[in-house]
Amino acid sequence: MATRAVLSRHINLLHRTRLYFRRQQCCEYLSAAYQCEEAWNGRLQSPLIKNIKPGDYIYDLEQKYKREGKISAIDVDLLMNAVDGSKAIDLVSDIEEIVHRLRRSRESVLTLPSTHHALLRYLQLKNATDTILKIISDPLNYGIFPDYYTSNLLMDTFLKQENYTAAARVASVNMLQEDFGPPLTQTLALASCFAYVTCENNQPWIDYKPKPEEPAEEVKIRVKYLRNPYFDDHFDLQDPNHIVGKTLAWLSPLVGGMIGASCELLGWALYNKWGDLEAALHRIKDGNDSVAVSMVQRIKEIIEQCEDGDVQEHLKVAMSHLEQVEGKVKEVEMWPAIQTLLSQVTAQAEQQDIKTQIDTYQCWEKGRAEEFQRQLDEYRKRELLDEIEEKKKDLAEREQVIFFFDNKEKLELVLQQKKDQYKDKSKYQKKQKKKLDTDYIPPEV
Amino acid sequence: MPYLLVGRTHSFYGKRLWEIVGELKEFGVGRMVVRSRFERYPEPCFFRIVSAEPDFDTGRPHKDEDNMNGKVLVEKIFRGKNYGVVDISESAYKTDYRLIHKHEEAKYVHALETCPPRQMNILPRTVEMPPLLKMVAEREGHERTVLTMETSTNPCNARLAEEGEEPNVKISPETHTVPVRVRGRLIEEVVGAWVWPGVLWRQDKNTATHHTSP
Repeated sequence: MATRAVLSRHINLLHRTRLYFRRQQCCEYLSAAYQCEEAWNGRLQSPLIKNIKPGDYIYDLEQKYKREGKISAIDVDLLMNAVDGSKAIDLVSDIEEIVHRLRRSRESVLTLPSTHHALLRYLQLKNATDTILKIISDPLNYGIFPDYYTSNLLMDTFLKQENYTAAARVASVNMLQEDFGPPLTQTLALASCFAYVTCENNQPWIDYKPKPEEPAEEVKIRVKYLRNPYFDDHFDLQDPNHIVGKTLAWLSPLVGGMIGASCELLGWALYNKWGDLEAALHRIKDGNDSVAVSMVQRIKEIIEQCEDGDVQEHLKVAMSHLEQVEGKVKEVEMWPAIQTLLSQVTAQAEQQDIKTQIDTYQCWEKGRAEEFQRQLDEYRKRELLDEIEEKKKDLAEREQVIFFFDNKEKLELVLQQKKDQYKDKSKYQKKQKKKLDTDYIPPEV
Repeated sequence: MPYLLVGRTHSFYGKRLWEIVGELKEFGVGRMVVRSRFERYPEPCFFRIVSAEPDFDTGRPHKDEDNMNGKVLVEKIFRGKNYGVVDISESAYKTDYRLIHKHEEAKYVHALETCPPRQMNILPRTVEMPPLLKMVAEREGHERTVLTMETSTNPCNARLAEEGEEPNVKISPETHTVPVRVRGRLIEEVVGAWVWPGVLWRQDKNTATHHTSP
């Protein structure tokens, strides 16, 4: 029995090593045209953005924030679009701070869709992977959500860089939003999660959520109400395996086929949802899709870690039932199959996506100009209203002086009323100090 | 060493609405949330977010005081009835909200569609006197042994029975279940009646005992 286990482990290791080298060989995902570089750089020629010098603009925004205590969404959008990732100047930390300020302000609702894309694209060009992950993992503080196209770009970049942790984290954002997008985004997310799960030496999964600084000694704080312990099993998930597992489990049925079935089982197993895993095993057993033998091996390994003996036994029985069905478990290499699927989906969707994105860029530019104009009009209107108000005040004062003798009687009446009003002086006068008896001697106790 | 929070307890179970919408795209417009407190009802209760404008404050996260303010409009469905778009900004800070996942939404919508309308509670026009009051009335020779029932100006799903109409709610010491709460927490439900705030007449013991009023 022990020999069989050791042998199985060796076979698995060999398989994973083979998988790793095969992944190294073929790392072409999206084409260079998908980046839409030309259309994207077209924004720098727009009259609104052309004259912006990012360094000075950030300084102005800082000053405005200090003066007025607020930050405008259109200002941030203009900045995000004005920064050029290909230039040497590094504004990553400044931009991160500005986005954080915008998110925590009331203007956050007005954030333009191009802000999300422009920021992530800038950070991607700057190779600031840590900042990207920090920003997309903490929506409460940054509020940046990649759209489908940006998700595709990010996952493609990270897969090419073999940073599978980062790619899987981008995929997990789609899971948290419960929006897996078009087939290309789905397939890239599946590839990212699968690569993360099967890779042996992944980059560490860092927890970027901010934690309040804790004092050296225990400090008791009085609050009105305590919070009952609650775990939502979604946004509160911390374990990388659970996050990736949940992403795979929810995403795979959308992909379907052998890949979908295998990844769904793997997902539920990684997520440690044994009930769902058993249900999926029964469903796949009765369905038409087959499962890859490598995934069956992996799932068996995970089932071994299940602490509940009864549940483990149930799962083993369900697994053996699946294996007994003829042609259900196939000797298929998963990674090449995913690669093939990805290239098929890419070939189908790439041109259409590029066209749509170019239209989106134009749409954003139009929207930005309209929003800018709206804000400008509002600013002018406010300025004009202030001016009118000041003029009215001035005219009223002048009128009072000019018509003083005409209104003398009326004014005297008003004066008398005011005098009557302040007659009760005790209300307004300061309390008189008590007279001190200088001869007073305090009694002896 | 951590901060140790000291305060009152409650029975809410969940997150603040702002913590949920803050994690979602476009502040969760179109998504469904549910309050754990309302899940005790057999009819479906949920909210669909129409618009949300949070006013996050960055102060004192260690005191659990951030993400509490803002303006949120929701389509309110309470006990199977659609109340239209309402403002729930006042209660959005409560740690009692739960996000409904997209694959669960159909279940709630189906429950709403198939939910029968709630039966109107028809209250009797008169109720028996509480035992102590009855005893005093008898001792002092009052003619009346019943009390006339009155409802508030806008009673929730209840009305008084018309002349000759059979009420569907019985209110009497024999049938009335009284919740006994200590600091808001339900400890038991006994058959009896509140004789006076804080004094409970228990049918099983036939004696008045002191309890915290509900």
